[in-house]
This record gives sequence, C-alpha cells and structure tokens, in this order.
Amino acid sequence: MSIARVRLFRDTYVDSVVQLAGTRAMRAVDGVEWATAAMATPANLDTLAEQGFNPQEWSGGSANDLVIAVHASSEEVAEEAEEAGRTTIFDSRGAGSSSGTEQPPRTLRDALDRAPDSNIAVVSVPGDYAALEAHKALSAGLDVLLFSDNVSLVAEVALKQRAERLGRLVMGPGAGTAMLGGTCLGFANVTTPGPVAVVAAAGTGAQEAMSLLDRWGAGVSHVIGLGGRDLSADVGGIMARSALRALAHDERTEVVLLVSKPPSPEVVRAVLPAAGDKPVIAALLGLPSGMEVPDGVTLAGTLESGVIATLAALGRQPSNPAAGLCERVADAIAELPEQRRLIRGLFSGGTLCYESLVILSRYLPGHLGPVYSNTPLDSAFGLPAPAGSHTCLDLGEEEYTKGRPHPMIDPEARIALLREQGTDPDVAVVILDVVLGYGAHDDPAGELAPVCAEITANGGPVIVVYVLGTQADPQGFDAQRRAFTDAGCVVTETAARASLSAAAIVSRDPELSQTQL
Amino acid sequence: MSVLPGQAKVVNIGLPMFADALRAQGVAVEHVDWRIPAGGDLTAVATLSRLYGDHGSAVDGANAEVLRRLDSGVPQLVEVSTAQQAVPGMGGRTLLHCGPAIDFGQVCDPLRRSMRAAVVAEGWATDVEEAQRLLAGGDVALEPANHHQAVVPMASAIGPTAPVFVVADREGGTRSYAPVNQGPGEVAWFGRDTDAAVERLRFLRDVAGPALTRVLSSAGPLDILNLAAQGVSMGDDLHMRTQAATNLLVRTWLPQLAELPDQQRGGMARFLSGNHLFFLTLAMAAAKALTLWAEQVSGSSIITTMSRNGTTFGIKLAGSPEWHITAAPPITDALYYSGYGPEDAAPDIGDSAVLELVGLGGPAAAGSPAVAAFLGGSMADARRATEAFRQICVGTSSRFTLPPLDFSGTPVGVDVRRVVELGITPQITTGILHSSSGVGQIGAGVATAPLECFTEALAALDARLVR
Repeated sequence: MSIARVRLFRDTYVDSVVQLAGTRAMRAVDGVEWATAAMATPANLDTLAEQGFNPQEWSGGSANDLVIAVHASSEEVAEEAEEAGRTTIFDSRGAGSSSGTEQPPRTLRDALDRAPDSNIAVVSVPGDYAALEAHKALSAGLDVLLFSDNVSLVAEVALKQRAERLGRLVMGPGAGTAMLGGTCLGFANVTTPGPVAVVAAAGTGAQEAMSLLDRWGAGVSHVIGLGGRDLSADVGGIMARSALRALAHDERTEVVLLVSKPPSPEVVRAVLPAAGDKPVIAALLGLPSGMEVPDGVTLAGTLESGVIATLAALGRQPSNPAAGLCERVADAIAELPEQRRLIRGLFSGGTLCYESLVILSRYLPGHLGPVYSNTPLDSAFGLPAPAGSHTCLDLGEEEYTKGRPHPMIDPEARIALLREQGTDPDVAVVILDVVLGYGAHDDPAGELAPVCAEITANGGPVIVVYVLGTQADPQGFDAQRRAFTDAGCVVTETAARASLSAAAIVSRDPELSQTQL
Repeated sequence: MSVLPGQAKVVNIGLPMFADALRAQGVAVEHVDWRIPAGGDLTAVATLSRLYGDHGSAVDGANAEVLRRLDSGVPQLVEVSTAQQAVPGMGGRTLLHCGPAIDFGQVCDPLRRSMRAAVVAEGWATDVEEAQRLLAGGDVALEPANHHQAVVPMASAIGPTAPVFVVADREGGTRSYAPVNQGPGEVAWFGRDTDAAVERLRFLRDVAGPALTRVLSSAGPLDILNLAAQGVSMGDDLHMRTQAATNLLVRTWLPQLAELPDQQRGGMARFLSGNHLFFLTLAMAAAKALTLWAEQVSGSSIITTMSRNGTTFGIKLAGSPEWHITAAPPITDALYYSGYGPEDAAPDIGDSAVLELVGLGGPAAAGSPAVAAFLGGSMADARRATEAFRQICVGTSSRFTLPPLDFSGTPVGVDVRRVVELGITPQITTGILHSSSGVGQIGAGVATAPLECFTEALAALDARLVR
C-alpha cells in the first residue's frame, strides 16, 4: 500500500532551482513513487489534490509556504525521502543572500531604498509573477533583463510598449543573456570591450556571437537580449527597435550584429532602419526566404558567417574557423567502424541545436537525409525519430528540464544520455556544445570529459565538442578545451564547425568540415 | 529613447545564481528575498501589474498628494461643543456609532449595550429595557460616525447631547469631531449599560463638556499633533498608550483647569486624573481631519477610512465614497483578564484605526516600551510592528519620529497595492470586549485587518482608473 506524506513549512520561500533540487533528491530515494517540493500556490495545491494527497494536510497553507509531498512504498521510505528533500532544500538556502546580519530586502522598493542608483533589474521569478516585477522596475526607471519564461504574449507586448514610451529596455521574456556597460547579466561570457553590439533574440546565439567576436579580436560593446518572440509579427520587434535606436546613438558601437532564429521578414525590415547609419549584419539562422533588407544591411545564415561578416564590416580578417580540422576529422574517420552511420546531437544551447539542424539539413543537401529533433525545422521530423535516423536534441527544452536543472547548469542529465549514445553501435558521432561563462556550470569539462574519455577508450562513437567561451571566462577556456582534446574528442573552433565535422565524419568525407557558410 | 547604462548597478529578483555571478564580477547588486505576491492570486497580480505599471505614475502622483496632506495638515482643537450643535446632520433621535453602517438587528452585544446606555442618557427611555424596545423598533436612527466627519472609539454610540471635540485643520480646511473620552471602568464605550455607565455619560454632558468648553475658550486653539508628536517621543503610540500626551495636555491646561468654577473643578480633576486615555479621542479627531482632507484626492491607492463596528470591518480609498466591507476580524495574540478566554471575546470594534492611517498606533509601536511589553516583551517585537507598516506605507511622517529607530519617521499612508501584494494588512492593537455578558473589557490583543476588503478595494480602484 502506498504511503502519502505531506509537510508544510510556513513562510519558507525557495526558488524554482531549489524546489527542483529537492524534488530530485526525493525522487532519487528507492521506493518513492511520486514526490514534489513546491510552493503552496493554489495551482500547486490543486496538483497535490489530483495526486491523491489529502487537502487537510495543508489547511491554511499559502503561496509562500513550502510543501513537500511524497508517495512512497512504506513509512520508512517516505521518511527517508522527506529527509533527503529537506536536507537538499535547506542546505542550499541562503545562497545569494547578502553577507552580514542585515535582513535582505524583501521587495524591489526595499532594494532601491538601499541602492537608489540601481539602473538594471534582473527578473527570474516564475512567469506568472514576472510581468508585475518588470512593471515595478520600469516604474522605478530601471532597464529590465527578464529571464523568466511563461510570460503571456499580451503581458510581453504591454511591457515592451510601456518600456518604449518610457525609453527603457525590457530584454525578454525568456532572455538569459545580456551584457551592458561591461557587465554580464544572466548567462554571458566575459568579453573585451570593442565596437560590436550584439542584438539577439536567441540566448546561446548571443553567447556564440559574443564569444567569437572576442576570440577573433573584435570585442563587444553591448549584448542586448530581445526574447525569442520579439521579432515575431505578434510582438512586432518593439524591443529590437528600441535597442537599435539606442545603439545608433551609442558612441562605443560601430557595427551591430543582429542574431535570431527565423523572424518575421516584415518585422525585421521594419525595425532595421532604427540602426540609423550604423552597419547591421543580420544573422538570421537558416535565412527565411523572401528576406529583403535595406542598404547597409548584410545577411548571414549562421552564427559563424554572421560574425565573419561583422569582422569584414570592421575591415578585419578572421582566423580560419576550419583550420586544421580536416586532418583531425580524417583521423577520426580512419578508426571508425563502417556500421557507425548516425549523428546524435546532445545540445544544451537551444540556438546551437537550431543552427546545427540548419547546417545539417540546409547547407549539406543530399548528404545526410532528415535530422529528427524535439525542435525540428520541419514538423515532419519531430520525435519520436524512426530507427536509424539522425537526431539533434535541445536538452534545454521543457520536456528535458522538468524536475531537473538546465543542462548548462548541471550536466548530469546530459551525461546519462551521453553514456547511452556511447554504447549504441550505430552511432558515428555525438555532438556536444559546452557553454562557459557566468551562469554556466563551474567546470563542465570536469564532469563531461571523463565520460568522453571512457567512451572513446571503449571504441565508441567520435565525440565532437565545441567549447563556447572566451579566455576571460571564469571556467578557463583553454583548460576546458584541453580536457576534451585529451579525452580524445574532436574540438572545433565554432559551433557550426562541430556540426560540419559531424557531417564529415558520418559521410566519411573530411572535406565537408571545410564547407563555406 | 533609451540610453545604455555605462556602469551597471543591479537589483536581482529571483534566482540567487544571477546575483552571485554579478558579485563575482565586482558589480553592485541587491538581491531581493522575493516572495510570491498576492498569495498567488493571479487576478490580483494582473490588477497590480496595471496599478504599478500603466497607471503607476498616476497613482503614485495621487499618493504623493495624499501623503503630503496626511503629513502636513495641522488639526487644531477649536471648540468643545455638543454633537447636535456641531456635527453636520446630527439631530433628532439619532445615534452616531462606530464602524460601517449597520441595522440594529446585526449590532453586536457590546455596541447594543452602548446604544442603550446612550438612549437612556439622552432621556429617550427611562431604562435599558425601554431603550432596547426603541432601538429594536427602529425609533432611533443609527448613523455611522464616519458619515458625519466624526470618529468614535471602541463600542461607542453617542447621542445629540454628547460633548464633542471640534477639530479644524488649518491647512486643509476640514472639520472633524470626536466625543470626549469616557475614561476607564464601568463605561458604555466598553460595552456596558449599567447605571454607572449611564451616569458617566450624564457626567460628560453635564460637567466635563461645559468645563472643557470653558477651558478651551480661555486657553485658545490647541495644536493636537504637536502634543501627539511629543507624546510619541515620550513612548506613546497614541492609540494603545496616550499617557504622555494626556499628561502634557493636562499640564498645558492646568491654569485654565484651576480657574474652573468649584462645581466643575473637583469633578474634572478626578476625571482627568483617572483617565490616562483622555487624549485618545483628540488624536482620533485630528487623524480624521487629516484623512478628510486627504480623501479629496482622487485616483489614489491610499486608505483614508478604516473602521469596525464589531460585526463588520470596512475601508475606503481616497477619492471614492465606496466602502469595502468584510466580517470584523477576531482579536488574536490576546492577553485576557483571569477567567476569560477567546470564547468570550467580541470581534474587533471601533473607529480608532483611523490613527493607523496617519502614522500613529501600530506605525509608532517601535517607540513605545508599553506597546512592546504588550506585543511580546521586547523592543524587537515593537520594531516588527512598525516594520510591517513600513512595508505597506508609501512614506514616513515628518512629525512623528521614533527615538529607538534613530528618529526615523513613523510609516504613513497605507497603500492598498502593497497590502495586497505582500499580504500584509494593518495590525491594530486594541481592547477586547466581552461578546455577550456586558462585563466590558476582558483583555487586549492584536486585530489583523481582513485581506478580502483590501483586494476588493484594489479591484475597484483598477476599475475606476480604466474607466
């Protein structure tokens, strides 16, 4: 018989990351059938009732109480699970709070009382409440990086229209990356100052662009996130227009690199003139058909070619991103058994997964056949993939992050998938993107490279790794790359080259890694 | 057009990892210890987004004016008169009572007793049984004091001959009224209808009222909040404790009191000597004068009426005549006289919560050792009470300052947006009356205002602004 156990902790708010960690710790206990750690919001309590828990157990509970609930095979298991959840949750509490004995501010207003000259708010509360916090920040005269997901379209448009009236920025919702005034906000890489501003409707796209600009010597003035929907017809590029207008007058910026998955062509056309006289390179992954742009705008179809075009606009010569790659790919092919024919992309960055799909299916027509994905370019190639097909997975999508942290923060879930692919005799190549910078895991190579080494040593598939980062990133760019090289991986210079290398390996044609993008 | 920031100074609301990343870069960051707003009520969250968002600056502007009026009005006691002579619309067989409008059938026991005592004192009935019949038969009109620019404490009901303080705000031009406090013991405002309670009402009418009229006409207008401010710095919260302000007032009036005719002087001296809450109704009338000026501002989210009749609890926002009413809350965290307990307690009652709207009472708790002793024994408990008001108020008083908080001003201007957002309602320290036996006060405790009427007021403000 199943045991149901519920505990309510009054006035105990923990954020979603900690809730997930607690949930995971409880579910990891043998004999646990179902478990959750969540705030006692009306919606969450409804879920508990649906799961068969007795509402009496949380009578009087309110949204800022923490509730832990377990279905388990026995009292002992339930107790063990509860203890595991509690330990995980309460050990991680207090992180991020300011040092000293002073109570941390409880509201934006409290924070502004202490630091009245604040100019940016980073908002990452649950989506239902994010617009409220963003509105308060705008009212207080702050620019906003809105990391939160699940903000409604209506709320997004209202926020952005208001921000435009007020002359403020609302970067997001769902914007994880920005760099303003030299400060990395959210997930971002440490770049040297330079003349290029990145405007991005795609998080890891922005990180790839800023990292390449830094590594190839151009430097970055600002990175402005837009949120994935900004360039859609529904939102109409309100934020993109504000960003371009601000950059048009920004003395530090000479060239603008716009990065997006396929946007609405009409919207892009309408917002581009806001950049004024400054050259714009529009890296619109997969280049939507029918795209016409005004003079002074250069189009690119990949992140790599967008950055190269940006350097050209500055009169600089990029290093060759394919240098030396042909030989490494050829070496890898030489040792690969004939029956290994499949690509497995295991991506932590959504935009990097998307770019990979674009490269594998649009830039190399006829080489590979369809590539299946949880985020397919063509809905005919969604999951589940038929046996014997190539797949690229965006492991940052909701279906993979339910109940556990994002793979950029915690590699554990990706390691499990990597091991699985490592033992599949049909897999020729696994593609891994490894994102460095603020927000990302402290030492992703420390977790991933040993597994890669093991797979390689056991004669498994070739592992192609792209390390997205800069020399100044806290994880140490060279050391991270070296760890994967030492583990026997093919390490590439750009994310695009990783996909091209993978294509080259499955096609047994090293020259494909040199493809011009 | 936006100007991109040169040097980032960040407020982080949500995941601590983003604050950690900023600190690692040496960037100034304040991390907010965030809580789910409005108890997760998504309708209220949407309303708050509009009232902090599109309508935010209009509401903030109105609130600034409300705050200015609450903070800068100068209510003066200009006259001691009777209700029928001074209070607009007061005449005939009418009683002014605490709280929102109510039918006699719904009136709680302590207030019923107070009404009966007033009816007898007015001479409309010879005893409380007859008074009960008149009241039950609808022969006495019942009017909320708040509808007549007046406020009355606890379970007060006052008739036309009751003496009242007449207060005029020099800055705002408003006039307000409150009865002369009945003092301790067997008294109608504590829900008693004994002969002694009736006798106290007659004493007020026949002795105290005329004596105070004489004192004031000789002493001249009194700046009430000047004394109140001194009282706050001497440990009064001016709601639960008015000891210091009462003493200052007696000292101020001592020459005029000494000049009273023989038949008034001794009685007044004994009355004042035994009444440490004498200043309470003066402070209430002054607060009402301020809120009457403030409520003329439209489009504000600040509460300018908050009152209870023992059956219902009601609030109003500045700029709207609309009451938002829910059931009167129980009084919790209570200390009972021996032999009494929660089962004996009547719900929260009285108009005195007007004080909490102008920076007195709960907002001033942190300066009052007497209130601290009651709230849990340490000054930290009192500071928490003030802090709770600070979180829901738009500003601070420039005249009421708290020595233990380094002379910071008391919180002023309860903002319904903050109340709903944070789920923190005003807490009012108050006396507890017996719910049925007529023994009067049986303890004291803390009444927590019910959230529902604030949520309703928030929605009504939103509707008014959208219209």
